Amino acid sequence: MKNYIIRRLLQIIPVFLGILFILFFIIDKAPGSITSNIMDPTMTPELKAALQEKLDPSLPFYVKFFNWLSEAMKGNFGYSFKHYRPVIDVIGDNIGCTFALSLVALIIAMLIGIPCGIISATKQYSLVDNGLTVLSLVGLALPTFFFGLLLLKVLAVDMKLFPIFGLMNPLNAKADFWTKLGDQAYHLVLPAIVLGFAEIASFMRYTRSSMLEVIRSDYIRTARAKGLSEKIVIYRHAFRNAMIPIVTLIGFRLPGLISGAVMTETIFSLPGVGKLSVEAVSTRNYPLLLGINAMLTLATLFGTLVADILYAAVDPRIKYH
Amino acid sequence: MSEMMEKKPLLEVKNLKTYFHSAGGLVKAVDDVSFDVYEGETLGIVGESGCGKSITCMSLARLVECPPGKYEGGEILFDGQDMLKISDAELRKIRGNKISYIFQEPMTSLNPVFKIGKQIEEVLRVHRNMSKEEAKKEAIHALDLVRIPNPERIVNEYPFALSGGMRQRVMIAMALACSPKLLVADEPTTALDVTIQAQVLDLMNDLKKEIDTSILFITHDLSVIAEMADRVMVMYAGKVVELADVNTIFEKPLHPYTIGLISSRPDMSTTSDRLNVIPGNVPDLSDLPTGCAFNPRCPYASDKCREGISELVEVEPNHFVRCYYPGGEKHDGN
Amino acid sequence: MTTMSGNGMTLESSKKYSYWGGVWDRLRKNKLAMVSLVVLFIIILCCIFVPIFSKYTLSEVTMADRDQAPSAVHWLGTDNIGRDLFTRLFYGGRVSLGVAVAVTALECIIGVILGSLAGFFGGKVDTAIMRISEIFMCFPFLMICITLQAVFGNSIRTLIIILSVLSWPSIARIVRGQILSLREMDYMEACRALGISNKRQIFKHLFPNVLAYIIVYITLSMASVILTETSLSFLGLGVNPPTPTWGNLIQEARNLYILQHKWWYWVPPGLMIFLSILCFNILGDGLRDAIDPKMQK
Repeated sequence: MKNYIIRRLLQIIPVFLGILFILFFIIDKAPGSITSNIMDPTMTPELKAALQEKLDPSLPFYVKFFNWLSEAMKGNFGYSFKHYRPVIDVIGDNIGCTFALSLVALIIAMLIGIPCGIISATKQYSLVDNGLTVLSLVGLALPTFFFGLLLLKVLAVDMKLFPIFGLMNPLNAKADFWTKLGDQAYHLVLPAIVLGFAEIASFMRYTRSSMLEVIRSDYIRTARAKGLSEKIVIYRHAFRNAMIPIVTLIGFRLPGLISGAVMTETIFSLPGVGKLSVEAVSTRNYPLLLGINAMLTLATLFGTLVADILYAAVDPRIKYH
Repeated sequence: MSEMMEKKPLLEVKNLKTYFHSAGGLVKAVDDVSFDVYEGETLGIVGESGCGKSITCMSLARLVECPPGKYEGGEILFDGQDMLKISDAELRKIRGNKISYIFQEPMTSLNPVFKIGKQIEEVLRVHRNMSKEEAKKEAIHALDLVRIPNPERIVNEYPFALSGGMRQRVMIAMALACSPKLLVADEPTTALDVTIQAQVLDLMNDLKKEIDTSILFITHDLSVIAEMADRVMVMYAGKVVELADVNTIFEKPLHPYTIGLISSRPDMSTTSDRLNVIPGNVPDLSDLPTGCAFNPRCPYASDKCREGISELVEVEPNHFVRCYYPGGEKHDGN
Repeated sequence: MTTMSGNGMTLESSKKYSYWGGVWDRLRKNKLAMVSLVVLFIIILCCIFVPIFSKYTLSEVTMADRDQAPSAVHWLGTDNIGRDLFTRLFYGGRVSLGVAVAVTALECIIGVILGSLAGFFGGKVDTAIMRISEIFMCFPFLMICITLQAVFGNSIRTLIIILSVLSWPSIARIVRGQILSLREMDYMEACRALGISNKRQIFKHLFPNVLAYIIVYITLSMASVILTETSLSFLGLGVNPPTPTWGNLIQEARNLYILQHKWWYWVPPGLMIFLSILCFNILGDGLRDAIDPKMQK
């Protein structure tokens, strides 16, 4: 198991470097490239000069890439002039919101989607199954932004049940920790529902098809022939097997989840990396864009790694391959 | 044979009908099948694939998926209870306990994510209320019984670590763990190599004597039947066409289909280098010919066979045949 | 004996009906998929023929008519400079669906070529293509689109290129997987044994099989491209206004006043996006079931 994790970690490195290379290549092509506005004004003149030399636009592309990479490894992703702060700090301020939103949505999706998928599969072609299938088709087809706007209009604007934007009521700025936390959770309810809805649908569909396949397999017949109760047959024997592909879905859904978070943050004006990156585009803040992309790529890769490890944990056959 | 009749039947199947309602129409997979299994005997069921022999056996413990399957009628009397009428809870007490199954595919019949030991222990804990430790001890004993070397190590292995033959032994160990009264073996050796096949068959014959269980043995392989069965039931297109003890079937088959099966075996004693085959194909169960389903392939078929089908008649003591012309005797019109 | 051969013949001929005929027969029985097909057909026809049945042109500005609610004259009302929103809705559909068609076509061309190369040649070619596709699949997709649009500027052409270049790996992997599995199948073995040439093998046996999967993929890809394009346009990073797309039209609702009081600005395009994605998804699922009936039962 340990070897497996180490091997997967080693496999991630070239992929990550490849993505960074492509990203840097793209952004280097942009007018007013990264190299011109990466400097932190609080740096000493010597450091500035050194960095200037390293990222000189006249240098060959690959040299600039490796110089940028070595700086990035030290945590220096450049400076965001719009925020008057280093890129890494700006991202750090905003990533918590995105992370919380995605995590809550993912948990909602799993807690609702997986059981619904199991019920749908065990009662195939029943009224419940058809109803859930229609709901999941709607969930997959309803774009995040449209669903978000609908909820925003009906629940927040018209019925005033939820706040319209932001992560916190400014009046609570000086409140104690628990009030603040409660207020933030309250602000996250609608965005999490919006983001979670589509994810519920994909978890449900995936669980359903995975369960259907497993339920028809020979070992489920064996389990029934052994005299086990239907509950144990479905929730222990079938589900343990159906879980194997579902676990990989968690990794696969990460890029989608992040895309969804970008849209959701924009609609609900949440201070997350999604909204940050849309702003970065309009202000041509390339160091910030590059930094966000690098961070999200790393998060995605890490997510697939976690999924792979979970996969090995639920499927005994993996460890030996 | 006569002393067999004095024994009381362990299982009585009467007019069992298991149908499938599919998009392509009604499929009568098991159509009015009746037979008995006596204590301590091995009844073999032979037939081509798709003749309903597997569905017959699955019906015994209501293992057929419903829907699309449906038990349309008949009785399955086991231990004085009608298996088609008892509640699910009562049924579960019988499955794996009094009636056990071994399936065709050892590679897929064991749950891939659970250890061998756990899968055997499960049966014991459900039916024998054993503690975890007792069950584990018993599982090791069961593996030992089916001659698996190193049972203490094997209980901690996952199925994928074992060969097909080994897995089938595990299946047998699991099926016999609760000393069932009836063991249903659905083509247990078909997927195995010939040498492994012989070993597994020997093992089953030995264990049958040790545990004193009845066996319902399904196969399409006549040589396996000859080795295993006391009596043989031949099925064609969902119906029993002939039922007799094993020597009678091989020496004096009466149904034209059985005659065809017996004569299509490779025969070492003749110098003929051609195999006899039954002409035609296995019929499509959703689109059976009228009358006797075998009539398009039967050399003796008459108009009578195309219009109706014979009852299962006891033509001589304990030899039942469903044919108007048992033994292929020529009839007037031909 | 005559009855026997007669029976044999009917069995043969009933199994000999064409592959695609069978697929169509099964698809036709799927009511939901057929309804979706009809709905999509209607949407596409409306988009194509909007200049004929609409009294208004795309950018006809009538300040006197501005900000009107839906009425008999303007079926879906007008916007703040008096453009007819019903007309703009279907002109927007032209762009949104057009982009989806173009991206799907391009991505399939790239993906099928690379996937076939990987599948047929195997070895180093395969490894290289698969590694590259892995890199592409790990991109945080929408973020990269945003970045690329920022760098190269938003125009329909760059949008199409960016989306297709980013999405080829899935279809490449499907094609490669199919080729690999078909290569191992018995009938290809039989072809080789019969001495049928490589070219004939590919075109006669491999092609229809892979094609089935590509068609399913195309349907599902249409849905996902529509979603991506409208999402980007909604963020203001897709197609530049004043060119209407469904995403651009719905973008108006980011203004809270419009969101609250003028539903006709944003609900119709939202419904169109929803409806077309829904129909493409259902059709794709239906096609998959029709092509691979084993999956259904």
